[in-house]
Amino acid sequence: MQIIKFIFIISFILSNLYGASSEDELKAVVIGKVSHFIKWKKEDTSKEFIITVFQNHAFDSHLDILYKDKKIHNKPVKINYVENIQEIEFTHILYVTKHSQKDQEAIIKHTQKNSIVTISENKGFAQRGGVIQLYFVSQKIRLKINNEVTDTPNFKISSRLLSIAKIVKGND
Amino acid sequence: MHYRFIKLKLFSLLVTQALFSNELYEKSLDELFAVETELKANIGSRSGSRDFLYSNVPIKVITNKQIKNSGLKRLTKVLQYFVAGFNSQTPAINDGSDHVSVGTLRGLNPDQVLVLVNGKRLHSSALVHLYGTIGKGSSGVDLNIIPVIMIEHIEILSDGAAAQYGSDAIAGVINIILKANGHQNSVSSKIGTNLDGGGNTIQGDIFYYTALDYDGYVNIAASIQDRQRTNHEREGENTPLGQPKSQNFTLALNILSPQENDINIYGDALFNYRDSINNAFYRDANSNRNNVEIYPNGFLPKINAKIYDTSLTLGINGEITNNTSWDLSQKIGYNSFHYYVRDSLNNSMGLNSPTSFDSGGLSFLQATTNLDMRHKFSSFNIAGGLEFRYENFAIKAGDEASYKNGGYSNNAGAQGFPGFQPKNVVDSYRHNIAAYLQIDKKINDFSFKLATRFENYSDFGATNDYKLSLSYRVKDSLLLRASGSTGFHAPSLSQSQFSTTGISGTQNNLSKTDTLRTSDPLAISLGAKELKAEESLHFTSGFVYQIQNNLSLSADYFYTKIDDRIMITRNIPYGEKSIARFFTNAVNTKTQGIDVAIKYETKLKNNANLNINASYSYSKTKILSFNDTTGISDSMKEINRIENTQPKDYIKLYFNYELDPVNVALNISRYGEFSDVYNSQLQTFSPQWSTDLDVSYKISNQTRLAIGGTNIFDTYPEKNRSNDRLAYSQYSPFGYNGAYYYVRASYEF
Repeated sequence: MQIIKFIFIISFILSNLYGASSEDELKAVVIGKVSHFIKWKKEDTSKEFIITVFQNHAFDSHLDILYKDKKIHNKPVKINYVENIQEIEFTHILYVTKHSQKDQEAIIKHTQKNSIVTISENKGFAQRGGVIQLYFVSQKIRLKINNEVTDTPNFKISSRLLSIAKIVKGND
Repeated sequence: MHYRFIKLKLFSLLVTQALFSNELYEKSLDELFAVETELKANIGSRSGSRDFLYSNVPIKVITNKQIKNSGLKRLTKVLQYFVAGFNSQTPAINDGSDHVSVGTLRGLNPDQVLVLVNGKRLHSSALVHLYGTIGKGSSGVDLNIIPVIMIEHIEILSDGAAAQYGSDAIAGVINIILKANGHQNSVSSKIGTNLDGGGNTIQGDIFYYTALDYDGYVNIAASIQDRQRTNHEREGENTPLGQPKSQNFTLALNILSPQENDINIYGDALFNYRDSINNAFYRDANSNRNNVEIYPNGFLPKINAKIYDTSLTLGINGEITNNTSWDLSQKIGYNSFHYYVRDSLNNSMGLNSPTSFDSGGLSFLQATTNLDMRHKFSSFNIAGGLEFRYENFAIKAGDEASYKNGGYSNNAGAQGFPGFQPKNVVDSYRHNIAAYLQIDKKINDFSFKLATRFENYSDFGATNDYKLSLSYRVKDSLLLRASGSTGFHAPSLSQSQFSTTGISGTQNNLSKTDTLRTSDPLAISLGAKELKAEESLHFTSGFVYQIQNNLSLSADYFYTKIDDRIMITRNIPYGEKSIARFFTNAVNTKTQGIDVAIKYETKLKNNANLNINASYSYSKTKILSFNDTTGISDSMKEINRIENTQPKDYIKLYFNYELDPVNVALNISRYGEFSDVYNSQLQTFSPQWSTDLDVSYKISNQTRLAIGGTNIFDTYPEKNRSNDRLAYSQYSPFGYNGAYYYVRASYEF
């Protein structure tokens, strides 16, 4: 009976394994990957690397599952979810979801003031003052980086990351 | 037990996601840039794009990369290459139909396929197909007005969707998405010829992208093509059979300009000019159509079509809240089809006849205004909108010599295409308003979509249509889906307002043929009634099984019942040596079949990417009953046209092998049997295979050279047995031009 149960579980896992990689999965991975190319300058006493998601309608559980056992800058990763600007606390990365379009201007002001690295897929995000924008061309992910905020008092984006991203003028 | 099942499922999903994402996390950022995500499609839903594979209804997506690798430059060819069940033939000696390529899905009519560009309805051609083609009695969209280099991807919805999009979405909907943000500028050229029968072509294309603020863009593309005619005349016959000689110029524009406050201004434009010439039947020297003093050896009249087509869309959209968006747009489309006749005469004018004529023309204008709203709350998506559409159809008379009876004989009008007469002239319009609503809801693994659309036409009245589609995700890799809907095809203005007078019959047994409006007193006396809408009922059911992450299988059964299909009647004799015909709601039909698709992609040991798509489509149309009293039920030819002139089934096998710097695209198609009737004899044509190959080599990061061919093994359809004038049937789904070989080059900058 136990063997049957085991086979059933394995087959169930394997059958689920064969799903197409989605944009959300890829975005979740890229958020962590680009974090490796950003250096936080100020003394960082936090024990965890914090990624905050503003209005989590996008990722379901991708981020939690992916970063459960990962480390970024030698720190375990903690995922926070907030619904409004007042809830944003100290964070290394703030991911602004597509469903936050109307709050975007206020978020950018807040994060610029607090020198937070922001990432979003929203159209025109980098040019409007966000730090990193994800976008897709022919099913492939691409990056745009705002050239006004690559080297701030709080963080610096590596030249390696800048070399593979499209640099846009922003902060208007 | 149920609780344990849910726990097990959640556990397996979590493990799955972790394994998946971890695999991606092991890749470098550069490698992640090369990962292709799932294909998304907007069609069939007003609540945003989603993975096309897991849609409630069957959708196929053709990507920009696939189009580029195929080497194809005409949209009808692209659809024929990738879509099992799409049919586009090569008419010749069929007056205007030679010059406008239309397409069908599932063996139905060209006007039973709705074509959208960027999700907005594209106008149809003004041309009414009148003779021996699949679209006889209809006006379809001229698909080759869109430069292929401008296409980002193509979405094909294989289901009735009139409850969402309105008239014509019966066999399916083709949505052409133009290139948007971030595409590479490019120029390309292609030169080719048929192995036999001529048909030299040369084509140049350019695409240019300009970035605007906030991810906006201005994309412009142009394409110019010169195509020589082909000739496959029957031995001993003077009438060439082949594609027309044509020059085709297309221009396309796609713009997005994001503004402050989440407002976007967008638009697109298409322009096409085509000068196309093909022959009619040869007039023998001793024919009573000829005047031996003008043409001692007989003559071959030519029909020269000059076609202008343009469309313009302007729109503005934005968001009221994070969950509420709106979209207001205006689209105007115009098509003008003008007939000129060359190397001909008007026999009734004797020696005073000119040899070239302006035979008049047709035009069609369509202006559509849409206001759409979308709101998301909780697990509901609600979308609704209003539409106002104005349509105008006009016939312009030809010059007098093109139609007049000069008294020398009764054989009046320009040979090849007698001109439209003043009595044919019309400038008619109509409008319609529509209101539509769609609700999407997800409950755990169930997804429901409910759509309804009310539409009121100023000429024939109101319709109300409904659609319910649902899917159940049995597990991540298996989706079951089904839909049921009603639909309609509004009689087009070209069907209700077209009229012309021609000459038909054999060389010396000619009759005046009047194609009449249904409102014409003569037509009414012969049984004509006001046209009503074709009404349809649809049912689709199937599944999608993701066998592995790189291997998927989908299969869908479909059933479509159409009442009151519009056709042209048989030729009805009246008076002396005169016959009449008119449009009528002639028959009720049912069409059923299956679509199966297998998709596989893998990375080989040598790091090459291999993509394989295999698809099969089967459809069978049967006439259930006849409404018409003019004798269509006795016409073997007309019954056959509905039931058998399009292949019953199609097989497509597509392979793409990519190992930098080489790309090989191979497409093998099998076209099922079809039949044709000539001289009351039925001929069934056997299935045929056709193979297309394109091999390209990247000689630098910017430059790629390719050689290739379509129908490379030079396959021909069986020859006509009963038709003593034409060697091949024009219903052949892959034409009758044999092998075509080409070289092409592209440069990105």
